[in-house]
Amino acid sequence: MKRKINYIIILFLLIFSGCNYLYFDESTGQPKDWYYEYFNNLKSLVTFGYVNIYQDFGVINGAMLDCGTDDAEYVYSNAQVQSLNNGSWSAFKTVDPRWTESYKAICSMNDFLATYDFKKLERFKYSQNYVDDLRQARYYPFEARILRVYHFFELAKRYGDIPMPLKVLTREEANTIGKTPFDDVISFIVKECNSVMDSLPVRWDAPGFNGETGRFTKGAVMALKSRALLYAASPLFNQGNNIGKWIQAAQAANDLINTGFYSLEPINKNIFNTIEANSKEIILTDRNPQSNDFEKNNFPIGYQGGASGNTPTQNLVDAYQTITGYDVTLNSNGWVSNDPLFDPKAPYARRDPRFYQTVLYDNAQWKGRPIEVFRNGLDAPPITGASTTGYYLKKYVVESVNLSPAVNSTAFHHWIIYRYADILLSYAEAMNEAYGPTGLGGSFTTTALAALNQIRTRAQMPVYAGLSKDQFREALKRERRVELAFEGHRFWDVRRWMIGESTQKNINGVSITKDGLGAKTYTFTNVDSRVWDNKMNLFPIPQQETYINKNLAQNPGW
Amino acid sequence: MKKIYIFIVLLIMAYTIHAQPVITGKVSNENGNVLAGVEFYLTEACIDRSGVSDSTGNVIVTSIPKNTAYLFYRYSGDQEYFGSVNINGNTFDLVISKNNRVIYLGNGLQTSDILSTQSAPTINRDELLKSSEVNVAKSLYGQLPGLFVMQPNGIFDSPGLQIRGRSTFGNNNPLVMVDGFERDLDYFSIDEIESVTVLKDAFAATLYGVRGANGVIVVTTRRGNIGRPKITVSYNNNQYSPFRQVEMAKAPAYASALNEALVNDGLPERYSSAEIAAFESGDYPYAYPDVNWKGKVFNSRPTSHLLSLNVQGGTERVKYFTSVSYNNSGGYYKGLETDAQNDHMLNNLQLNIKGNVDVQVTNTTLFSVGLLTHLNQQREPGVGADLINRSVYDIPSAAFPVYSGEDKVFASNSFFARNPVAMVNYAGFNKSIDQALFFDSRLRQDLSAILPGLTAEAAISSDFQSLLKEGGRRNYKYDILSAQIVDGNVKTSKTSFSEDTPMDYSDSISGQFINTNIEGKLSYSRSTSYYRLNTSLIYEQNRYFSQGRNNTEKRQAYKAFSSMVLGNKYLIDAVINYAGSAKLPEGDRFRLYPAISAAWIVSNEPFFGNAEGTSLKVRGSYGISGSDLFSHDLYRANFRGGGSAYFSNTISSYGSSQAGLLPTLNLNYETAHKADFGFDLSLFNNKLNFITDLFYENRSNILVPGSKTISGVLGLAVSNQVDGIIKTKGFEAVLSWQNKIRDFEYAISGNFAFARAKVVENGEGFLPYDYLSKKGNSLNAMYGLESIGFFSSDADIKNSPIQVFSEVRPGDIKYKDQNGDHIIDELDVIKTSNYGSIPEIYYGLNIHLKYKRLGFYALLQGVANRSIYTNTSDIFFPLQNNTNISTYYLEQKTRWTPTTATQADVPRLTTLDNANNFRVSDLWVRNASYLKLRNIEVSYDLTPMGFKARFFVRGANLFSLDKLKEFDPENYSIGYPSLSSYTLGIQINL
Repeated sequence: MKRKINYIIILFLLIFSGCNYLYFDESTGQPKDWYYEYFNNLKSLVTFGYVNIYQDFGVINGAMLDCGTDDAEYVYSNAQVQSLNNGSWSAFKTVDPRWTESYKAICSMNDFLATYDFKKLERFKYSQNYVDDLRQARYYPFEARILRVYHFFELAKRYGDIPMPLKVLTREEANTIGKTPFDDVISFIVKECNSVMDSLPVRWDAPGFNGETGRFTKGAVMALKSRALLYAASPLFNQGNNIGKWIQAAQAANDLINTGFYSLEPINKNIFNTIEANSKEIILTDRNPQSNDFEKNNFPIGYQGGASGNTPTQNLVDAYQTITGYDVTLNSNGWVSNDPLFDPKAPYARRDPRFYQTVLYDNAQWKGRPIEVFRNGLDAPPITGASTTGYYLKKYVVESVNLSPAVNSTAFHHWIIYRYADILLSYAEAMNEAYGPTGLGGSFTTTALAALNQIRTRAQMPVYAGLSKDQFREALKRERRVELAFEGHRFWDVRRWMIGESTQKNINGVSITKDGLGAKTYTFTNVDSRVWDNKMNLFPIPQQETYINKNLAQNPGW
Repeated sequence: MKKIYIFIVLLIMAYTIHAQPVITGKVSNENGNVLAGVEFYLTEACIDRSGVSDSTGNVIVTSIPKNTAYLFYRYSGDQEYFGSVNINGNTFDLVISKNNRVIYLGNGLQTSDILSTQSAPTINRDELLKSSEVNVAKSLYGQLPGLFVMQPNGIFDSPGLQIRGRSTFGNNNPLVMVDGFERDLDYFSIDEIESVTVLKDAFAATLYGVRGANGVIVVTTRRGNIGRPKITVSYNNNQYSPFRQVEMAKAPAYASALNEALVNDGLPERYSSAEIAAFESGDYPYAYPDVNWKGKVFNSRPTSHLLSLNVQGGTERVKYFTSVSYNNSGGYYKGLETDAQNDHMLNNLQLNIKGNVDVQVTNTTLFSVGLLTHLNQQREPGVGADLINRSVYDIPSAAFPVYSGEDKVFASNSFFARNPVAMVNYAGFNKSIDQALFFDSRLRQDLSAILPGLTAEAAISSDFQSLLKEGGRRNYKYDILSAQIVDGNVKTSKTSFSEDTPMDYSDSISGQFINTNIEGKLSYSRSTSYYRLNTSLIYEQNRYFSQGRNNTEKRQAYKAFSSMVLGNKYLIDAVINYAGSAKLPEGDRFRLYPAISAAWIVSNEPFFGNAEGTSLKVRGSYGISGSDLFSHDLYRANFRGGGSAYFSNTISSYGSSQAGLLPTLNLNYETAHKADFGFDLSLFNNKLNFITDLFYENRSNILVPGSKTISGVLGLAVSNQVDGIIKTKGFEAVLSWQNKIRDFEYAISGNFAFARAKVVENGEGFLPYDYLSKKGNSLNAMYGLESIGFFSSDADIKNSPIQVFSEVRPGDIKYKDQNGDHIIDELDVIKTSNYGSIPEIYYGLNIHLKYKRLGFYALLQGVANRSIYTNTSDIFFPLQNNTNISTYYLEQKTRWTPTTATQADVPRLTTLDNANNFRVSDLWVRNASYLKLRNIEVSYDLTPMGFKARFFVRGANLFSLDKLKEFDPENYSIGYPSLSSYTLGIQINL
């Protein structure tokens, strides 16, 4: 009897214990292995590091970061960018998605560097393109390394000390990782740049390099190193004013200058929205498909489809001298200039040529008609959305774009990451701090003044002479501002120079009226009064991050 | 697996057989009527039949093994009964009461009200048939305490079913088991259903393992019984009419409102005063029309016919039930008589054929087979009913006429390109044909020859379904009209567009499933005069294979079940379920779920006295169960494509890929710890019944966003993580009273359910202000901005905090700055209501009255603690983006205008998106509790020529008591209207 029962039970269990019954795999998507086994996939993994490169064609819902500086004012008062100016910026109201965006790229690069294995590609050795493919693939780890430090620098210039993961983290590691000090981050960036520099081509469109311009070149790596060292030497990160750091910065810029790869273009050549291949001056751009979003955001309100968007301020316009090198300012008494040829009735005539590259001002020709900034003009108040400063943006805006629904044309927009002029300015700044305007040391052969005057000369502006170190510093600050306006520098320069207290203050504009005879009156107006606190020299870490990770101390003051 | 061996020990028990003398008994019901056809069995599994009561209620049971203490019986009369009778002596007298009603637990396990340790409310076919719906779920409103039935928007859709409200962020659908297998209730017709039981406590949930946490609805279909064939024919004719519809503004009112809105937006008016006068006059039906679109489209009175025929009967060898039911429901659209092809009108046609056969193959073998064929065909106009319904509300009366002129070409204009009448009649059709064949069979074998009390059972089911879609599309000619008044003369112009084209046909198979299940069971039962033990080992596997990738579901479970009755006073049930599903990664698929449930029948204690018709049972249960209703592959970290970068001198696009996402770590089934406590009380000779249940559930491992609890430094996109926790508490109570005074019978029964789910962990991470946190709040709570009136002027706007959603003008909603940062944004969102669209309170009231042949029945059902967000366009968000406005909004509400600024309760009219006004704020949150008359019926019984017949008149959904006068609070949308119905019906029993 018992045996019978046992048999039944065993039979029962045998029948019903099909162990693999639940086997199931209808998974979609590609596993990691697959990505590391093909040339194209390896390329796409490295390409991800480029996708998140920082460019500012209006990163904050159409507003450029410049609207958080004295160079520009965003037309819409309820726009997110205004929180940088009105005091509502905080650790839980961050305006910049870079924290997550850069760490995504860093994670992908870490994963690539830990996983790629070219031996796996040997199986393609009988394929036709094997040699070409493999030559390209050999650059991938170097690109991945440089992209990783590029993103470390983007984080460090915002947050100072940052978590610097060099491998893919687990959930626990990510939630407990501590900060690496800013100086160590810079050291790592410099070390990586030095190590990678010579492994990347000088030009990707030289024969044998597959023509994929827009990838990091040797020059771009040197430019990254130069900029990292410039920031590290700046007052914000160099509180003891260690001259050695300035010398390092000068050396890095000098190394790039000495390569002879790059030179300044003539002033009348528009280098904006062009790529490396078309300009000797451009070191690296971040390219985009054709679009007209930037025009939609920035065309003056009176042009079809335009929304005014980022408008230059009187503060910026005041920085542009007359062609003979005199200052022009607008104050409550009207235009003031020592230039004997200055005509307050034509205040925008005879200015620094770079002014005309950057700003659309009253009566400037644009798309077949003059800009009308005077009251009741086509581009002026009381129209909702008209510029409050009296100026519109020109740099990077493509005039030929037509936004009428019937035509709706588009154009290429390429963001300049590094160009020769900014290397020269970096060099001049570092040399002045290290050796004074005309001093030399070490192996340097060009003085700060000579470097700065190359920029002035190219701009067809009078050269400087006889400046003290402090005067030179002020001249250089102005030169960076006018040369590099709307190229994503001012916001960071204000911070590293620690001058926010004086620049984030009163934002001014011009109000123009036109009488019946056509005579115009220019009135100084205060457009915005901004809130500044020195804590803003560094970004607040998103509060959520410090809440999740107790080892992530918030930046001071936030 | 190991746990199973423990239970094997219980089975290894030898037992000997000795003959015993004949036992005789008599069976009757509570009213003293004898019952024929009651079947008696030696074991609880009810296979080894040893006697059937005859027409005098007498039964003779022979060849009973010695020491047999109990006989088990089953009876299928007005409803099904199951129970045991103590054979202490050679005779017994059995009175079968309502408390002996069978409760099916699934897996072939059964119990009865009196023997149950759980809360398992059941409704039988008598009650179900009080509803005129062919859809089974729609007949469950307010009938089963703890079952929340709510009708969502949709034409022929089934209502949503939830057990004890919502207790997870994930899928909360209860498991529906029909005849022991998971099946969609929609495939069945009400005529086929014997009973519906709601299993909601810990024990039942555990029995269903990874499928049980959301509760289980156990449905049985009707089966045969011993006796001559009983034929029932019934016919219902339903007439429908809309239940509450908002009237839309007439043309002049619309035109002035639109002008007002345009002026508010700083835009020019669209209609001149002369044009408004032209609308008013009605003199220009083409240029300045005033069309009642609802009247043009929703004008017919839809009817449905429900015809059913069923036969039930059987012999001692073969029992059978078969039913054919046919339903044809029309929709609420008006067709044009000029249209010969009527195939596009809303229509739902359903034909069901169901057969169940039970064959006593040998004295120890019972074989049951069930078969269902289902055919459902739905038709709608080619553009889809949703768009038509929306258009009927969206298109203003003033927009354009139906036809552009006497030649009957459809009209349209440049703002509203859709003509609802044309869409109903000339846009072709959609037809979906859902066909299903459901098969199940169950073999039960008594193994007393091996061991008395041992039985084996095997069951399989195989359900096939396919959904065919067929469609026809055609274009029609229409004219775009424009009109203007120049110097007092109306000038119109029209431009023709498109052409009448022939129908373009297409078809596709758009859904298919094969659902196969296998179940095996070994049971052992044993009884002595002091205890009864029934224990089972169960194996089951389910495979639901459906069209498309990753839609397959596979589950497997090993269960050990044991129930024990001690001294007729103590009931103990225990179950251990080792269950797995293919949703988890291989090697980690199984979880062990235990539960215990116990009851004490206090009234059987000697100290309680021996009061007939008085009983008290106290019961409690605790157990763990799971839910695997989430998608496949959550544990995988596949790499993914990223954005593009652009290289080369010609700016070519290069695709990128990124390191995968962080998958769900430690993926697990949702885990529910449930506890139940309750008691059942009957007093006054069972006239008063009171049942109550208190429950508590802790649901953990719920998938919630992980992105707020994992640092961005990780650098991976983070998928949902199993961090969520929700605690639900609540209670249910049923109070009923029934009595008979001479020829007057009446019964009143009320049920009440309350369930409140509290969020314990939702992955919200860091929030800068406490009021932003949802933790500790009700799961249903709603969140939005707090309105503090309307902006009175530009100066007011200038002096108020900046509202970032859109540019504000006077008359826009002004919100409270909760955090004092002078900016109104998402950080100022607070809890606007403790309640949400799922109510916390759900109740029902049944009233039965019967005097001789005249019967009356009413079912009231209501919900409370419910709020909704009234964001309905055309009604609450009028005119924006070319929509319409209702007379309700114009007349019942006071919109902001400079003159009504102080008493306004809604903002200014606008034609723009206005993200400032039209977002969740307390202004739009309304109390949506209601009490509805679900059913009311008057019936009359006849007995012409010896057979029984019953005539009835019935009304459904006739009124609702609520605070939302303009709309049906249950279906607050401009979709297909809620319907009331009147039914004439007859049921004949041959």
